[in-house]
Amino acid sequence: MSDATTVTYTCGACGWVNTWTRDEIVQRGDVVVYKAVPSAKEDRYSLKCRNPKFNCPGHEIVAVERKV
Amino acid sequence: MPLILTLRRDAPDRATALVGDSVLHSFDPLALRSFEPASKEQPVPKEPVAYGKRLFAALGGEELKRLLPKKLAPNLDSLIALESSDLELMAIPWEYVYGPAGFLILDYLFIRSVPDAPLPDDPRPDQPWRLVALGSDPVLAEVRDPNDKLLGFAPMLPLRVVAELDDLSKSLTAYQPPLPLRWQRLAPTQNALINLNTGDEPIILHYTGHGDVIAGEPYLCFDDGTGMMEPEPVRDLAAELRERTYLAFFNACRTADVTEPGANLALALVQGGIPVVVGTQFTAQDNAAAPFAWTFYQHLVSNGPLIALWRARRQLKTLYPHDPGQWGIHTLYLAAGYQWPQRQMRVEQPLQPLDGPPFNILALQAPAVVLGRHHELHDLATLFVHDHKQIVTILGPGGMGKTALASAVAQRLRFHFPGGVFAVSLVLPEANASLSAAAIRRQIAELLGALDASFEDPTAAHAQEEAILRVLQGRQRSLLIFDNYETVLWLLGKEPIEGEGAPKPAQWSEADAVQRLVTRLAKAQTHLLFTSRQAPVGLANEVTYPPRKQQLGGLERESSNELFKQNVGERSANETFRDAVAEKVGDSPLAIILAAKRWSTGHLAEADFLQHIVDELILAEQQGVPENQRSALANVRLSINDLTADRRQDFLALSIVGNPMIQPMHGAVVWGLEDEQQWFTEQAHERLQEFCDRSLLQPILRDVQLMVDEQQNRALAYSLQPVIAQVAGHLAKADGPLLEEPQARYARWAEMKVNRAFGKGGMSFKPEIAREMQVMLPDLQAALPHLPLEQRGWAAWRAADAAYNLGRPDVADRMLQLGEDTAREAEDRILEGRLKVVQGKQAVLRGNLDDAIQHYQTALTIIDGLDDQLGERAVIMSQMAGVLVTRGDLTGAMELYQQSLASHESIGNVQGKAATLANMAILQWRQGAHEVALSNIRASLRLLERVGAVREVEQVRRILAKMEGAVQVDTPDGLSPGQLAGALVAATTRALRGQLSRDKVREDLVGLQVDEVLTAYINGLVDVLDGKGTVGALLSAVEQILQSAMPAERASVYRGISNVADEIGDVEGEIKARQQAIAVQRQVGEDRENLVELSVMLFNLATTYAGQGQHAMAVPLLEEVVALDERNQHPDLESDRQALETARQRAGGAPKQTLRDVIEKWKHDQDKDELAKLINAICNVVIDVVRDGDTVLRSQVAEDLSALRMVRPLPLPGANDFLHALQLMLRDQPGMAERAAQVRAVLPEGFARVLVTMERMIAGESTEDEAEEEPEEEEALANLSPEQRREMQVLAQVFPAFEQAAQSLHDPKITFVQRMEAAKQVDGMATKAAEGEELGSPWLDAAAGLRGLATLLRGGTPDIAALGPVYRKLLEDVKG
Repeated sequence: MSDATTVTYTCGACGWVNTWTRDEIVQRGDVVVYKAVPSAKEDRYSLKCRNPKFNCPGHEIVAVERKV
Repeated sequence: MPLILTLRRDAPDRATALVGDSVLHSFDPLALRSFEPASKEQPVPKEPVAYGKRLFAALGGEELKRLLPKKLAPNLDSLIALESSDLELMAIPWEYVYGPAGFLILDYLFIRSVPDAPLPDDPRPDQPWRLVALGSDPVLAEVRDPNDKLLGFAPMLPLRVVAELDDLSKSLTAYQPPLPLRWQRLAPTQNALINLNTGDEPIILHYTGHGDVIAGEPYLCFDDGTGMMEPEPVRDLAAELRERTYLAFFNACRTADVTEPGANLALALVQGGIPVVVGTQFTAQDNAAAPFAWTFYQHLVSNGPLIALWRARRQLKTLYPHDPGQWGIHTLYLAAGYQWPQRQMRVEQPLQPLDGPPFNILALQAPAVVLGRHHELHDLATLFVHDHKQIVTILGPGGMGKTALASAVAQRLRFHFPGGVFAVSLVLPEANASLSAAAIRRQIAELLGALDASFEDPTAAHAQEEAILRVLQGRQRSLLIFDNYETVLWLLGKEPIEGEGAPKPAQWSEADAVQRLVTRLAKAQTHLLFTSRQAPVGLANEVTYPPRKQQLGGLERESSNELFKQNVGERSANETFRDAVAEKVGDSPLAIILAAKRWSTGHLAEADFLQHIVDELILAEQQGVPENQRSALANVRLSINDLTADRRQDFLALSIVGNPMIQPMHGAVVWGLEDEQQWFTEQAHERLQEFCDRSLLQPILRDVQLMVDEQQNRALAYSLQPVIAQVAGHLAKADGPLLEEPQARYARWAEMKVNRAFGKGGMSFKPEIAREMQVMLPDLQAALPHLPLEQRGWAAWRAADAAYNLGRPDVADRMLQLGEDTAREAEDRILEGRLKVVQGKQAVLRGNLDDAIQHYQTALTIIDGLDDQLGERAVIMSQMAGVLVTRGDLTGAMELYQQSLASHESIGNVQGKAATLANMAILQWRQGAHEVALSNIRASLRLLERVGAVREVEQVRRILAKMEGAVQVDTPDGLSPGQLAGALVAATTRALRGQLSRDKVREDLVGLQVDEVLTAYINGLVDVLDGKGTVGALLSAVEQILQSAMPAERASVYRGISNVADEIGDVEGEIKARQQAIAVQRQVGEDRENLVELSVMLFNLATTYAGQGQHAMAVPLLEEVVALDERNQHPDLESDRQALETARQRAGGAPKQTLRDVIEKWKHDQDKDELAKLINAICNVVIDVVRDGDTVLRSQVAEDLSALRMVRPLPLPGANDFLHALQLMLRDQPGMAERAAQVRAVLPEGFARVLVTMERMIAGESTEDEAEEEPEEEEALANLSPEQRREMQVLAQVFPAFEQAAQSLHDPKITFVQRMEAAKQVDGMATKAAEGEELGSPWLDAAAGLRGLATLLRGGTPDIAALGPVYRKLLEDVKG
């Protein structure tokens, strides 16, 4: 996944279609840690919904491959 | 009614839901287990609502709806239990069942029930729960190929297990009312769990960490003790825990797994005999796990596990309102038929938690979580755990994160060292600070609990080392961490010093002492961990990390990148840029943090930002900074230079602060943020926060309760990272004179604090002052050397005494050294003598009497060489005598007391003489010379009453009462009638003053078996106590008794009656009694003591007349007083002359002289001796005027003082400045603080002390502890006018009532009725106080204060504003 590759999903809370580049995800997202042995290849980030019209509390977790 | 839904397997593809025998519905379990997961990592249902409706339909839909309990959670009748032992049916995530009103788990107590599970016996009802907690957070996991071949190690992201367990521990321990639950933290290893022994206490087991399912088996991921993950299959764990464990909670992934039906740990454990188990059906997020556990345990003990589970699920809903997939992850399995035991046990206090071995590494001030460093952490732990190394030294340049690494290693090794893990830091807070081996030994001893008597003497290095070693040898394996050991190596020349300057030779011996200590620790097999920059410590068996004396490198790039991201705030920084910054700064953590903060607050483009770093690095290279130090140094410089000019100067000024905890007050002081009234600490705090936002300061947040301003969410104290401190110190030095003002302000502040804390025999005993001084000790060491020569030594003398009193002889020694150096430089022999006296006193406290005598003798030798120091000499001899008394040499002591007495007499020091007489009396009493002792103690009392030394009067009265009491007990019939009459009237007076119980005295009087003559007298006294007697009756009754008495006895009785008259406000009787007393005293004899006594009596009678406005009657009495003073060469001669002069003027109808009149009169004569008296009078006027707060009058007096200041110079050194200080005090206008501080800074010692005393009097504070042997302080008391003395005497009488009231108001054991009773008594006192008093009498003020106090006791709100300042403050204090 290159820095410019995008991830798109629909927010479960407000229905807004969110689009993020990899670089944005890594900068803005919070790393999510599970209480299980993690994958050595990718990290998971929790992203806040980007709906500009109101402050949507929706969050989405996306996985991003680690750079080698 | 609870609803039990039984799930029955009918065929491989069919199952039925039943209630009792009634079939609700049948369903295909395999189809139900199929749903679209939200993600691969957390395969909860992606559409929980839709999936939940499918589950509801499978359980009967409308039929189930009809059967749902009518009650809702938390009612226990709302229970819904799904019961089955079929693995596949239990592998359906039923917690997502969605009914007509939503998810059932949110409205009902929804659980799983396991049929036929073995049930444990109930625990003993008298035992508390034992909550055993394991937190596993390994840093590395092995990576193997499919053939189980080890490929390497993968780093693990850190979990928040430490925070989770800390929060749990704190909240459960603080729970009110206290829970019958004992907290125990266990090492995160399987062994610790298997070998768990809790005695009879029933166990609740809490595991937090990683969990997994591997090849169909449930695993928990323990730690091997070094940070390496150790996954262990745990299906059989029940065998280790059953019959003593009643609940287990596995806060880890997949511990009640539904993905692989055979891997359900929770179900297996219930079937194995643990009746209640909470687990997770899917993976669980670390962020969600901690709050779930916290809420669960808050409710568990009081409400049981079902309600606790429901509450915790509601908590998840609050945390993740839009992610219902999270709500149903936790599930609870309950053995069918099991009833959670109801515990009736009550505990009064929280049970002592068992938090593992002792652990105190606060000195490291390291972040709670270290980023990255996985391999380093594992390597270091391995060195201790597997390689059994005893001594490890982490080497690395400043800012590379050695301290953070040591802290993280210590956290991981806390269970490896059952004797405990402890840390000390050797970093010196500012450039001029010096290393103190004694302070380090003391810190270690405090951590280990090894403080013993040897620590009273800072030079007893060997004994202190022995004490430390003894404690360590008595413990199991312990680890001691020495952070920043390069400080020692620099001073020893074993490592090239970084920064400027060469170590002072004296510091070599301190460093050598520290090195000797660690060498002895090493030889005693103590485990040691050091951090240092370049060189190892040089101990046998020492290994360095990294090996081969390399230095610790930067973070892994990924961690650098993450660190930058965490510190960058809102300004965007892409990954490539972050990588580039990390590369430029060599992945140094400190440099990355500073760079990120600069980026977040700056506006430079990426290229320019990077170029600045490169330029600064080149500059550092050109300046010869070694390569591995450049990135940190360069970035610190960039961050400091990035500040505005003003803020840069402010920041550099902080480098002079010697306190490792920088608080807003420090900022306010060094930055001069003050006005006449206050320090602007809020403004200072904002500036400190600015520096903290740029990471130039670190917040001290370790002890949340102590150090965090919760309302504003900011730290209360800050520290400087050593490299930042080093650079700031260097830059500040380069700026040179800019620091002079901050240093002067810092020094003046420290001096002011130490002056305020310092009392008569040393430091004030007020706890708030002691606490403040304890925190300020590092400031005193750093600040006082900046004082001007003439103040420095005396301030150091006080600081030394304060430090001794705070139990810090190591600091006291340093202050003494500063004092001695200054005394030599200033050629101040008196100071030298005083310093020796301080040492003598401390030697006495240590029990080292030989040393004490030696110090006192040295002091005497010094003093003997000086003129006019008889007072000093007398004081020293008194103290030496005290030492001899302790030794049992009573004869020698008496000789010294005699010499002391002679010295005091020759200089007319009344108070010193009184103190010596009292000491002699005590000694004579011990020797059995009771009559002489009584005579001396009475003489002492008379003298003290005369000078108005309130506290001492009370002390001596107590001694006298004891002696008299003992005489009465010993020889009940031995008293003459006259002596008895004297003792009885004295007791009556004390009862009237509230110093003795009135009822008790009355009872004693009534119970006395005496003859008829005495009976009338005693009845008179009883009548007085009952409020109906008269002094006239007493005088008549006593006449016959005293017929055969000695004149001294008669005088004493009449004087006692006059005091009674004074107390009951019978002025006529008082005058008559005083006249009688005087008449008899004239017959006593003409030795000096009797004549002085006569003089006192005459003066008192004159005062009584004057109080009645009969000044003409007072004049002849005062004339006689003056004549007697002249004859006795009494020191009060001048003040008595002045009183006579005033009386004459008032008798002649002259108006009261104004201050201006007196000043003008003096200006006419300009007599040097008269000036001292004039200044005394001015002080009294200023106190009165400032207290009253009349601004017009204040301004007038200030103007009057200008008239005196115009005479330049005044013939007393420092008098002009002193008057100036008084004017500033009177004018009290904003912006004058700076000026006032400057003026005060140059005041001579005597004037400075008078000023402090005046301020305390104005503030209504006690000045008592400043009055005794010290001649200067005696002067301060002598300065009081008779009115003020009287006011203080009144205060002393009523003060105990306020003290008692404060206690009863804040003591929960005092009942309402008792408080009402107390209020009644106080009201009685108020009435008594006001009786017969005229306007202006201090007793009227006292009465008003007492009435306010009574109101307060009744629960009302007194009108505090209407009271005088002293009583206002007293009442405010009582209110607390």
